[in-house]
Amino acid sequence: METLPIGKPIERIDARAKVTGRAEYGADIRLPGLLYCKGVYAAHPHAKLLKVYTEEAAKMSGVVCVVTGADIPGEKMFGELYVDQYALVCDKTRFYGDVIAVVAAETQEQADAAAELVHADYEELPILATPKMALESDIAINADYPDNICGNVHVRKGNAAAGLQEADVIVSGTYKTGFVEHAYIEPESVTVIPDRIRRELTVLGSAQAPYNLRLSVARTLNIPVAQVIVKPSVIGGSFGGKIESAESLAVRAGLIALKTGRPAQYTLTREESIRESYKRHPIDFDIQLGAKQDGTLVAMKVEAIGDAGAYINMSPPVMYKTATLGPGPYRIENVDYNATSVMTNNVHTGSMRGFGTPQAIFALENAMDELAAKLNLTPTELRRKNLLQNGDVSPCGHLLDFHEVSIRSVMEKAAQELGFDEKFAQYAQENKDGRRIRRGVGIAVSMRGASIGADGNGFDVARAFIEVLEDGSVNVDLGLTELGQGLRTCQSQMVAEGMGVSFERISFGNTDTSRAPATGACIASRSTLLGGGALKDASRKVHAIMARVLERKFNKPTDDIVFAEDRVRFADVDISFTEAAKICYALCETPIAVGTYVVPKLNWNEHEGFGEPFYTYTYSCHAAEVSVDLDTGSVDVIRMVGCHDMGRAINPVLVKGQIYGGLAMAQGMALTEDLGHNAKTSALKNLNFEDYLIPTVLDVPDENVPLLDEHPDPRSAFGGRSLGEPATEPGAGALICAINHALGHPGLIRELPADLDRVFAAVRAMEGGDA
Amino acid sequence: MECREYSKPTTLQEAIDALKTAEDGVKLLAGGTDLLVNAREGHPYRELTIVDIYGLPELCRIEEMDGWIAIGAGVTHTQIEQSALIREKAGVLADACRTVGSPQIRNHSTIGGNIANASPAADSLAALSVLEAEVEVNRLGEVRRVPLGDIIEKPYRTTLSDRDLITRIFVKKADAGTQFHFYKLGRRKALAISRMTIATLLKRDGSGKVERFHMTMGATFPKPMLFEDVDNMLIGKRPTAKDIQAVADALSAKIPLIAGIRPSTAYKQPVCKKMVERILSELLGGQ
Ligand SMILES: Cc1cc2nc3c(=O)[nH]c(=O)nc-3n(C[C@H](O)[C@H](O)[C@H](O)COP(=O)(O)OP(=O)(O)OC[C@H]3O[C@@H](n4cnc5c(N)ncnc54)[C@H](O)[C@@H]3O)c2cc1C
Repeated sequence: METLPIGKPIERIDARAKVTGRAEYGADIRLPGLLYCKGVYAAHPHAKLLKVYTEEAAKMSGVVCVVTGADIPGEKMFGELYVDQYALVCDKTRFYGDVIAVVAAETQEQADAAAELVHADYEELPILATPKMALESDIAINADYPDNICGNVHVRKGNAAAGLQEADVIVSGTYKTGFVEHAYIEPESVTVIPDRIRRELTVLGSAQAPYNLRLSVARTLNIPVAQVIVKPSVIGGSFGGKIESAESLAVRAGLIALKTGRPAQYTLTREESIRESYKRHPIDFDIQLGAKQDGTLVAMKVEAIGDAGAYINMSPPVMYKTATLGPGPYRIENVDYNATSVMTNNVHTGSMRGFGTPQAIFALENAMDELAAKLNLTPTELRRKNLLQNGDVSPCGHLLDFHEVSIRSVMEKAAQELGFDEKFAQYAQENKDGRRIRRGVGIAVSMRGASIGADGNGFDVARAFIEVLEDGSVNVDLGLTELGQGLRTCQSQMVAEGMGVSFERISFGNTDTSRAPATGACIASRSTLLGGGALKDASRKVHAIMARVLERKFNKPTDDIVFAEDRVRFADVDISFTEAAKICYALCETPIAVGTYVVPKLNWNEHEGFGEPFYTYTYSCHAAEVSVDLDTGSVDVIRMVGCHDMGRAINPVLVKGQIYGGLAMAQGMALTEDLGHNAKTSALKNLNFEDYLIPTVLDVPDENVPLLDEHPDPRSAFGGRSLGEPATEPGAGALICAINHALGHPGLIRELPADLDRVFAAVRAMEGGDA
Repeated sequence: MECREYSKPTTLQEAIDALKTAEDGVKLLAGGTDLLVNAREGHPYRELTIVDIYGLPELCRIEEMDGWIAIGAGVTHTQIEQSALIREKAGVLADACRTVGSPQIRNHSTIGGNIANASPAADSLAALSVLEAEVEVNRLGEVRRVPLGDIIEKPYRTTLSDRDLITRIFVKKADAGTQFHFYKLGRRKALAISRMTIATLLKRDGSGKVERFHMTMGATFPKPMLFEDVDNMLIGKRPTAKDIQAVADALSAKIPLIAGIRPSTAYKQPVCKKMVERILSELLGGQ
């Protein structure tokens, strides 16, 4: 095992190209005859669109074409699960990020200038800028959802109401989170190239989900799916954000490419990207948690209302994760977790790293600290009493007897690294002396379902293509995209192990939907599990083909054939992998296969909200240490520790990279990131990184520590589960727990982000008026 | 960036000549870290002549002159931060310039631009105020020297005409033993627009009696201000905790008085009071 590529910190295959600037991102693409696009945004967030005036713009110098929704030849709407999003608005505007027209010109400057001349007649409708307004209004944003409710998942186990009655101690209250922007370094850029021979489009650029994208383009532009070829460029981060956002750009640019016969590039400015791309759901939680005097949890009842914004997007599956993973990694008999998404005229909300759970873990873990305080227990004591172990049943009813339920050791490792228990006692003591800069520690735990879960029962599939070439090199085509997380390197390591060859033989093709079979998207922490499964299957199939050929060639049985360490051994034959490959080609055989992996059907009772919501889980704990200045409300993160059991680290350096990044992302969500949403007009004020404050290198502590607690998962082909989302999941919760500990009041801060004003106001309230 | 005309003089005289001959509106371009950002919104400079003064040798010097330090308007924040002279004799300005933006911004942006842009949140302003800064302005060859407070009229508005070129900023050299303090409150540790800055200059004699004292806030008032009444509260005293408290009360009371009661007042006034107390206690040795 040790000599194999898995578990080795192999240098990522794109590292040098990226740091030297050789890598080509979407907006770097230049082609002969390239047109540049510029969108015109809705002037009102909710209005009937009566008429769009494009004539003046069309006459401007350099302008080649102006399109509106009326020009879309196929279906007007797109979407993966719910087809309700307009790349170009037709009937009415639903939020400030809707686009009413697109101008294409010879230069970006010409397109920008002409776009200013497009205007429209509107008939304004009332703006529903909060879920509350939308629930109370009789105006429907989407006529198919007359009450504006577009998703609901209700998890039930036992009897929460009765459980709360039995509890000795109950905490109840509300927690609230805001819109969060993905803040990828690279704003979206898509280039669409029309074929010169037939009605076919090639799409390049920042596409996280190329197979979804080709369906959306095919549907709206009336082209067979096979004639939409998507080849994502090097992508500068995505975090779930470049799915529907890239699709609407591809539809608009594709329309222009078809109309003009010329390649068209559509690149968003940062302000445009923040304006039109979907966000993390703001969720309001109303939470009740009950325990026995000894700390045993008995019941949890949560009402969660998420703001879906103007389009349904991924809201229902996001609510699925909120409700199924929001109850945390605890042993608890009675659970009632009801998560509902409500459409509004706000920016739409969709996939973002964590997908509805960082919010829920923030709410739950702070409520846990409130409970601990009431029970006179420390945060770790309360959690130790209730964390799941092997053979326990999860809060949703999943019997966990198929892998190591490691959340206890994961938490202990994180707590120990931070010195949690000692610091918890020490700071509580020293903070009593009247000091104005106080320290605090917080800890938060989570379990993350790998992949889509029962919400996608039956369609959670991955496919991979492996081809052995005559020199013994191995070509892999896999539709899961490299987003910066190092996927191509990790998947190559898995192929090398699966094929029994050295890493250097693997050539991992750039994703190309015309070469790699449809595989679902690189989302939902699914790529290691699903990609691994498909690659293993493909490896097995290629091995079988090669074995058959070798049996014929050597006329010896190959029942005991082993492919390992670049050798092929069977009977008394021991040849190099290269020789085996040569033999295949010499005998005109085809060592090529497509592997398939489908997540087994899960026993989930959707109606009763009970059963097996996911196939397997990653266990996580983040611990945080902060200092809080009571006189200004400013919070300084001293150190964070992230410990995760992702099964097996395929590439430990990349895993640690994910954890460092996840901690930083959690810090932004917890402390500073605020889009400046206006609860009357629905407008977002903070549209660039001057105003939307992500943490800088000076804000994120150099002392942050990633820890691994590996227990290879028998349910995964190579033992690994994904870590993309878990890496950020509990972080915001841990940080707010730490702030509340510093302030000496668990549950004091109940709303994100805990920025200067909010922390200061909480301190004033605590200290009683004139601080 | 769109503009009507662009010129890049190589000497101060050429720049003045360019200002003389330019028709209609003129805009000076220094490091461009404000100007080029503004240019992204609308077309503010489409009808203007841009005169690029970045790097003019006459504007890039830091010199000692009698009781003053003369800082060229084209000196960058990094150069100020690293100047031994400024660190020693006007350290509060070095500390203030160190908090501007990020290394990339500081390496390129100038003190003259920071003043002329007249953002209330400009980080150099409170520090310049306590150093009793004066600004040297050249209008088509005619040179005048004006107190800093008279250059800035209100947020984003100066009293300068478009032919006025700031050539130097004079700050008073502080005597040996002067204590400086600069505090910036931002929402994060770099690339943060100040919510408030507090600049302090304090000189005590051998017996601990205050000889010179200035303390003021930035990102708080419409223009840079010093308050004689507040500063006088410590002069001639060996300040006690009570005196510190009185200064904190008086200084923070200026916020509603001058800026009016705004949504931010509920935050800024108490924060100002607490921080003034903390800073003075620290400077005066744990009062
Ligand atoms: C990312 C970023 C972060 C920033 N962070 C901070 C910060 O933390 N603190 C802070 O204070 N500022 C900050 N700024 C603002 C800016 O960097 C400063 O105001 C800088 O000092 C401006 O100098 P400049 O040379 O770039 O001016 P320019 O942009 O070239 O000019 C600014 C204005 O001053 C005028 N001007 C320039 N020189 C003269 C002169 N000699 N005489 C007359 N008028 C003149 C110009 O005509 C223009 O109106 C930041 C800017 C950016 C882009």
